[in-house]
Amino acid sequence: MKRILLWCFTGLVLAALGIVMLSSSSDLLPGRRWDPEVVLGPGLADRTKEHFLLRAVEESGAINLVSAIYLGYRAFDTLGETIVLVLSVAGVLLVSGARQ
Amino acid sequence: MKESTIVDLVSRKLVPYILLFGLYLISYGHLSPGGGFQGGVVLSSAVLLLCLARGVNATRLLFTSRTVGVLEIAAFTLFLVMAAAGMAVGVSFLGNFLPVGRIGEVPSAGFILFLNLVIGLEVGAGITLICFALLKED
Repeated sequence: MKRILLWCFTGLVLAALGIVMLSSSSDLLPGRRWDPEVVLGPGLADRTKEHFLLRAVEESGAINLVSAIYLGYRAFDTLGETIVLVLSVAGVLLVSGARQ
Repeated sequence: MKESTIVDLVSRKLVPYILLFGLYLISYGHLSPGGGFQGGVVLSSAVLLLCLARGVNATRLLFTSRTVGVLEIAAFTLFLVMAAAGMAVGVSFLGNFLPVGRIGEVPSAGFILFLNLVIGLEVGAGITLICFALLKED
């Protein structure tokens, strides 16, 4: 019983954190259409490439543009990757029965 | 199992340099090819080399699974805390609020260097834990 309550509490905290995270970047809120071609104009791919090539170094401070993108512009994606890694480690430990 | 002197000696000489190379990959991730994921895997490959050459049980005395597990979770928590700290400071979630510094030097690029360090520790500890779980000595 106590354990179930603990899990519910954890779930609630995580859900609240998720809502705060989503609402902190307003484009992800539901009910708000995000059409890049309309908002930013045509030729988006070329202009994105140009932006990264010309300004990414001074904006992020990293010479390695791959790092600048996956830890700067797309750090959310990296957060998901680390979560996947933590979960896979937990899964391997659980399946192999290697408890402390 | 028959012990080989060559494998024993070479692996023990090689492990510190592999660890150093992993740390180099992590800390230069924003300047040259490399970064947290790659450097972390190199770090754990040093531990794996020790496991294969000296045996898992001997290695686990040096890198206890408790230490490695705590390191893994601590690095991940630090990632989340610093990501959420961006909201508290005033930029977005995972926004760069640290000073960028002079471009091209090792302590530069604020948040990116920090994220590289944290991810490197986390990946290294995670892969090491997986290796510990999968390798068992009779």
